[in-house]
Amino acid sequence: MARGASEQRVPAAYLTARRLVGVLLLLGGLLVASLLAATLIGPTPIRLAAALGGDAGETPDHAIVFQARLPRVLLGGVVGASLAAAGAVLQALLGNALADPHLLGVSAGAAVAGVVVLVAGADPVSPLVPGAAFLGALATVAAVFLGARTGGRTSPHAILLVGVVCNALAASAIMLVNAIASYTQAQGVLFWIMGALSTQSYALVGAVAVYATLGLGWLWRHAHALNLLAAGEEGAASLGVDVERTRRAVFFGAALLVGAAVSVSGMIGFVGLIVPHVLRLILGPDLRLLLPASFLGGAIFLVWADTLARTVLGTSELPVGVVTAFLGGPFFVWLLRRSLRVGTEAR
Amino acid sequence: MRPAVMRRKGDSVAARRPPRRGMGRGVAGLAAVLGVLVLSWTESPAGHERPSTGPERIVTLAPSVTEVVFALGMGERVVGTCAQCDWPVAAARRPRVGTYLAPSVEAVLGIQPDLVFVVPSPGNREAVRALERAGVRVVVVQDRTLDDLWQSIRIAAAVLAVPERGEALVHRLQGKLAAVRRRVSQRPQRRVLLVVGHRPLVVAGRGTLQSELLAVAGGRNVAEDVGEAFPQIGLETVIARAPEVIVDAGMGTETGARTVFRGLDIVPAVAAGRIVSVAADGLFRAGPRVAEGAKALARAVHPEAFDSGGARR
Amino acid sequence: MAVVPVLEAVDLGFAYGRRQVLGDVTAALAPGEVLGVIGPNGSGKSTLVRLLGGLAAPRAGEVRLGGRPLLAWPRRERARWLAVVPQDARLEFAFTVLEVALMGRAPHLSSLGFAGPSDVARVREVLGWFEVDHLVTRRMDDLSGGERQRVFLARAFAQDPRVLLLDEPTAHLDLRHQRLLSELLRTRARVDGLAIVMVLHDLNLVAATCDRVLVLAGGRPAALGPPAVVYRAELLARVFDAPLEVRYDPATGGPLVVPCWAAAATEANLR
Repeated sequence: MARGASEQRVPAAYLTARRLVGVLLLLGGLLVASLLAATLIGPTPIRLAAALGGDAGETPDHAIVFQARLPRVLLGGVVGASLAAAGAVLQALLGNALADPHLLGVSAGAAVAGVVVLVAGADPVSPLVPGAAFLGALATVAAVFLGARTGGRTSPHAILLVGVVCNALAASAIMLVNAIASYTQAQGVLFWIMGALSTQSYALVGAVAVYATLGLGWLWRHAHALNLLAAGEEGAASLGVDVERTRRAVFFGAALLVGAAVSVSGMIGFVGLIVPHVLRLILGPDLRLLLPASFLGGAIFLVWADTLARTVLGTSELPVGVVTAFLGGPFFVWLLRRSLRVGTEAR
Repeated sequence: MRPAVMRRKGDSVAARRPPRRGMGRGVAGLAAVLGVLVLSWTESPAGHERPSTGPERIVTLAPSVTEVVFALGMGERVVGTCAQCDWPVAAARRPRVGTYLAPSVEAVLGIQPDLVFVVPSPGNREAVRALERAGVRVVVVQDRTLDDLWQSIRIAAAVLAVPERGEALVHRLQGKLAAVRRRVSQRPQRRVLLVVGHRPLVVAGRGTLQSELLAVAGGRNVAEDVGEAFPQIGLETVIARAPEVIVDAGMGTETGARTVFRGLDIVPAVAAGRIVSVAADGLFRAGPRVAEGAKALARAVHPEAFDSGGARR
Repeated sequence: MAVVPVLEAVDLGFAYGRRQVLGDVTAALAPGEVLGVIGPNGSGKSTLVRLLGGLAAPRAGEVRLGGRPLLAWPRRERARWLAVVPQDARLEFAFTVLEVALMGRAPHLSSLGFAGPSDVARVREVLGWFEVDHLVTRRMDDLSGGERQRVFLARAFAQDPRVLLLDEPTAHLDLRHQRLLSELLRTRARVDGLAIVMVLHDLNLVAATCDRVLVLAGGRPAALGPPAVVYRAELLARVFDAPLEVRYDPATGGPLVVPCWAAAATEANLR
């Protein structure tokens, strides 16, 4: 870490409101720049003047930028933000820096519901799919919560285990559904499971954005308590934290964020793991900063990953989940090895 | 499981036991008889009884080749089909031996076929290998393009010992396609986008059956140069290629097709309301109904050529 | 003495499932008093600390803080009165020393927990008492076990509590810092009126630091009183099931417990 031991650097040793605002402004600026850049990048070359010019209905450039690319870029931002924010609090809640929001099992529940609706004959662009998926997410949240509660306590360990079970059950359900589905349906299912962004209406993007921001606010209120929980349950309780209430609130907040993200874009992996982990290495573990920073950082990350997905193969596209897996997989291995190595090198 | 080829008449040769020692001349004589019988047996795979009979029990593991076999008039010899083999109706009534993606080795062997027609699918490779190892005669044909179709008809006809019917079928189908081509020949080619999936937005590209039929139907595939058979593209590519007609041959609903392109009035097809759903099986199967697929496409691309004023040439 | 006890245990009892680990514990702590809790392993000392700290609800009896039942106190208000340093504080993530110590100010801050300059100043002062102020910008996982423990102790002090509960606070501390802690506790008790309950294995450190000692055996109080009264060889040897002597220490004017190491070895051989 680049923090020195000199007296002058002391303020960097803890989080001030100024540092918080400064970092978030910086990330916010990066996000806006990324959104702009990503909207201008794509397999079709466009002329900026024509795109922004007055004759909206007459040039394809305008349509490409505002009807094809921008909604998708914005959606990528919102989904990435949701996943990364959920990942940040989940890593704190579970006390494990390698936790991924899909561990909760909520994503799998949403995926099963969406897949069932797809194979039952719904058109993939029908609002039934994300609608059913979100209901599936809610049902899974309830199931995980009830399953993880023992004696009035929601232990992180139990959350993890129940989440693993949900994931396993959902995986088998999806395999079953896939086996009886037609070939074309199976392709749609696979696409959904891999995780992909598509051009949605501005209304949907806006709704998810509002929802995600509210989710962020809800979680942020518990950021300080989560920090205190990092030093142990009893230490936090002795500092006045309502441990059970904090855990519950954070679990629900994260799960609902993930549920919404997966409902519109399938199971995009690694964003919720990598972004908070890397930002923690740079900014420190204080969630009051790390949480909103992950929100913004996740947006930036997924916007660029999707830009890559849209352009790397030329005119044809990859699902963004493939890109994040490709980038994230080896990175995750590297992180794991690094953390193991640091562990064995400790005195 | 004993290979089908052993189930011929006059099979009692296999049951012979070797003679006792010391009967040298007897052995030689018996061997000679055996040799002649075996030789005559292998020399005439069709048997001397019926000159052009071919395999008696056929299993078809793909809808396209099922249609071809029936179109060759050999439908009554088909004893088992895959679950997706739904045309003609007689084929749909045959016992099922699994799916196109996952045929059931057990079911196929249980039916004891002489011959199995297979189209490679993502998933049936192991099953086919298992059938081959069990000694079943397997004939592989392709069904991706029109050339595949002509070839598969000829191969099937040869294997089924009716080569002349195969040629006739090829000739007939090519004639039908030519008729469609003629019908729209006066019209300028229209730029067409062939959608086969809504989300992901997948279109038919170069070298696909759909693209070839589109050419017959007087259309130019705007996604021809994208590079893959069925590429997934973004909406901006649709805007950039500006198709005049969007043919929706996907498995989704018509409402779905409209939703995909909603608001994209810059695209000529959308502005003119020319998003046409086409559901012909002939569009997806390289089989005897390809001409109907071409005709359906032509009707979508050049509807004026099909006005009730009768066929125009 | 008509002083209202700041912390009281009344007939306290606790069990894990059916296993009774604590019973009939009654004690009252006055402001400025240092109470030591000693006993063999498994005698319920840590459980007692958890009950007194409100970290667990008793099965029997009641804990009162400032005269009111402990469990009726709102959490944050309670945290402004009562600080607990549990036995093994683990830290999952790499916070800095200053961040951890600042956590102690949480009960006095808003729910977002942003610390002001006065909080930082107070925390640094407290860190200075434990001689870890020079480590403020270091990360916790970078420190030795003893340094970490001192940071957690400082955190509890930063809470500015009126009652402090310590469970084995010297487990990783070297001699110097054990002494430092002992002096610090006695000073704070005398000067600020801080009431302290301390669980320790080191009987002599207890004697040197505490005004009264509670001896627990099998979850039940075996003795409660000043060290000079409670430290009787027969009692301690029986409770701890180990041969020892209690001598008079002229330097402190109090008792000195000397375990009979040699005798212990012989007896072990005999068994």
